[in-house]
Amino acid sequence: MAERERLGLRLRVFLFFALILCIAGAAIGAGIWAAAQRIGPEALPHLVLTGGAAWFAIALATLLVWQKFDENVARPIMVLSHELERESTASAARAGVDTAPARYLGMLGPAVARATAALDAERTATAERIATATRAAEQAKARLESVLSELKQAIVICNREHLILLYNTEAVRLLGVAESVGLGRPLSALMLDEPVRHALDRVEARFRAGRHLTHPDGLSIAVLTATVSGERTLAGRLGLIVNADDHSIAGFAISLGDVTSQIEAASGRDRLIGEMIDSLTAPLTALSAMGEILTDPAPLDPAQRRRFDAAIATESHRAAEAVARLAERHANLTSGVWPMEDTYSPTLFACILGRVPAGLRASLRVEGEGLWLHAETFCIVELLAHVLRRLVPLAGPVALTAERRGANVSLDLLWAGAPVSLATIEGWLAEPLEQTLGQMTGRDVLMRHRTGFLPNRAPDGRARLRLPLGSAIHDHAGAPAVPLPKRPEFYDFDLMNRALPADLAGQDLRHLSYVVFDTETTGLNPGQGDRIVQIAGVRIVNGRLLRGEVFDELVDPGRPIPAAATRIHHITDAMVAGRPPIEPVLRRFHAFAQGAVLIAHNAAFDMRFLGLKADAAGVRFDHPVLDTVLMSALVSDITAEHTLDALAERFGVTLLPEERHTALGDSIATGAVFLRMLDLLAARGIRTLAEAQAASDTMVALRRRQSY
Amino acid sequence: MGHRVLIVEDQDSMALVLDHLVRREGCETTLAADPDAAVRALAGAPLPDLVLLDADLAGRAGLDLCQTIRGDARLAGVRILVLSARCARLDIERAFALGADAFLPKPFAISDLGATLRALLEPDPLPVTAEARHG
Repeated sequence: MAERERLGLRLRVFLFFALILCIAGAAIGAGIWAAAQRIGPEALPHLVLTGGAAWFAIALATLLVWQKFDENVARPIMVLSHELERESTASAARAGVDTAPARYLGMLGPAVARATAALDAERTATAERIATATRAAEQAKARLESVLSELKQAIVICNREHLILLYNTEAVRLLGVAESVGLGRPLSALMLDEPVRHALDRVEARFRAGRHLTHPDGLSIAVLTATVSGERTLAGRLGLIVNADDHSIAGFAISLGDVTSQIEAASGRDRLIGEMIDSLTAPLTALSAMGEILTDPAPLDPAQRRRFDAAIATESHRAAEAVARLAERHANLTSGVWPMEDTYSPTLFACILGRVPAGLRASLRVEGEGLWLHAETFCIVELLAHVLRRLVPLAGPVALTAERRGANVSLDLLWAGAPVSLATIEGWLAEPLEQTLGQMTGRDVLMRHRTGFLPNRAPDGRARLRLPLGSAIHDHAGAPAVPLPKRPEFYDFDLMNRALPADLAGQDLRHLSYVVFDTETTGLNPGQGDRIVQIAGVRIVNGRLLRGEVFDELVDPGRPIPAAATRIHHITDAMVAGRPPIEPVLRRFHAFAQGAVLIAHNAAFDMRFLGLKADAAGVRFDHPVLDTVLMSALVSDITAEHTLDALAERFGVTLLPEERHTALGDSIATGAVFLRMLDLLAARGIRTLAEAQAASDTMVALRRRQSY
Repeated sequence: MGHRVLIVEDQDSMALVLDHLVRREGCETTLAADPDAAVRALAGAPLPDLVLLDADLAGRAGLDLCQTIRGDARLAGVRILVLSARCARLDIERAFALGADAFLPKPFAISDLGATLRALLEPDPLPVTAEARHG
């Protein structure tokens, strides 16, 4: 079949006509032979001449027919079949098929044209549908991203194996160590897993029994846990994620907030009450007894009386001091519990303008620059709106402005004319605010913010009512506290379908999680005191190099960095001054690499440096390790160079100039090279981690033999 | 009455008050400002008839002293009256379990202290608690 097709349609048609010609020749030859038998050999020349002329005429006719046939049948069929073939493999709609050569093929030409047109139309429609769906998906993704990143709740989504599929910026902030938050990492690296498992068991039981249909909480359940370090207490909800098609459990989502301060405040209140009883009982017991003794009809002698007077003074003083101390603690507690937040003064003023009657609004004006401050905005808005409702009828038009005063920001009300007396203000503050919870007064709001109104005059002579408040906790002008990549690769739902990597060895190389890392050192001989000055790494999850999940830390090696080493990695003594020593950095890197396969270029070198201080850091780097030098030797010919630069060039990996020859840049390059090697490894039958390690071992043995 | 009372109290004002009230009942008093001083006072003769013990001594050492006294056979005849601001049911039960003969919650009425003292120093007193009386 293949052999025949190789000959081509036109050649086969030609051969067919040539066969006809041969048969005609053979028939004429046989006729000449038969006639010569009858007539005798003398007629042979004549017969041959006539026969030859006849064959020549037939040959001419055959050639003419073949030529027409070739031109109008064979060639158009070839053209149409090529067109059909191209059409079927084309990725986009093409210009219509030229059916002019097929004009003698009856309906075939128009049929092909219609078929290709239909195919094109279908393809265009499909492309449009895909584009629309992709746009919708992109929009949904962008919306999800922006919602997640703006949420002040930490969101973490995990699959059934408790591996992280999604997390948001707040999760990184709240759960602390950025290196522990990462796709495909176990949840237990972030928080105490037990309460989560317990909550999950309960909600799963509810789901299996079908009780979620009637339960007020449906598939969600409250969860209280803590960060691994135990520093923060986290409260939130856990929701079960159920596959819509088969009702199997796909994973779960947790939203968490930091309740450390609330819990501290609650226990602080309990402690405060306990201390109040403790610190007041002693003086009050003494005072009440002394009071009773002094009112006793039996008089005390003068010396005794003086001692009692002194004791009464002492105990009264102690009681008063205790009350003052407790009051201060109480103020701190209440202000701590309030949901204070950073807010921008123009926003606050706009809210105030919205809360006063329209007639009043005309008399109000916002001036000056906007400042960030820290307050419970709802109550401050209510308080200032209330004060303005009282002030404007007295003072006329009022300007609102914010001013920085050292560590504080004050909100000022300014007006031309006489200042308002403190007594008047106190009167306003005693009135309940309109919209606050309960019967809260302005005084309560001020107490909780630990502030008060200061009436005075502004430098420009206007009367001023000043309300000092705390300035913003976060730096809203500068960079965010936690530097995060611009487009973090924060989620990967494909992980949802992945099984628990119980047995890493048999896992497909494409589905493993990797940490590709690189170290910079003071030299090449750890045995002679050379030390790590930098560790950097980047994660690969599900075949994606996650540039948003990197580890990059400088280390103080505790010894000077030789100039020769600085020339290579450009890290100077000044750059590592004040950096942590190796032990905590190793611990953090270990946490970052938990559950992953380690990859390095010339891994043995880096592993030796890691291993040197692992004991001191209390960690063990017993991860599976792959070496891109050995991998490269497996997939390239024996003479090829295996330097990282050579590999990057061979595999078409390009890096920004500033990334090159830094620990992180080299890690990223190594990771990219590794990912591109996977196909070549697969072509050599190396698909699982076990196979890769076995092949590496062979390569190590081979190289060792070569070096002898 | 001529009874001897050891007052264990680390707060000066309270010691002054207790000393005054106990003397007013006609008793002789010895003052100890901490458990060590109390142990020293109990080591010599004559033994007190009653120890008036503030359970809220610094370091919560008051009830420990109660146990120390009950662990010494020589002091078997010494009555113990415990004063404490911690007067939850558990605190009172613990005081009795550790050997207190009576418990008076702070703050107290001076008449209650006098009555309790007199009850404890009767020749064959029944254990009396102000708590029981207050119901």
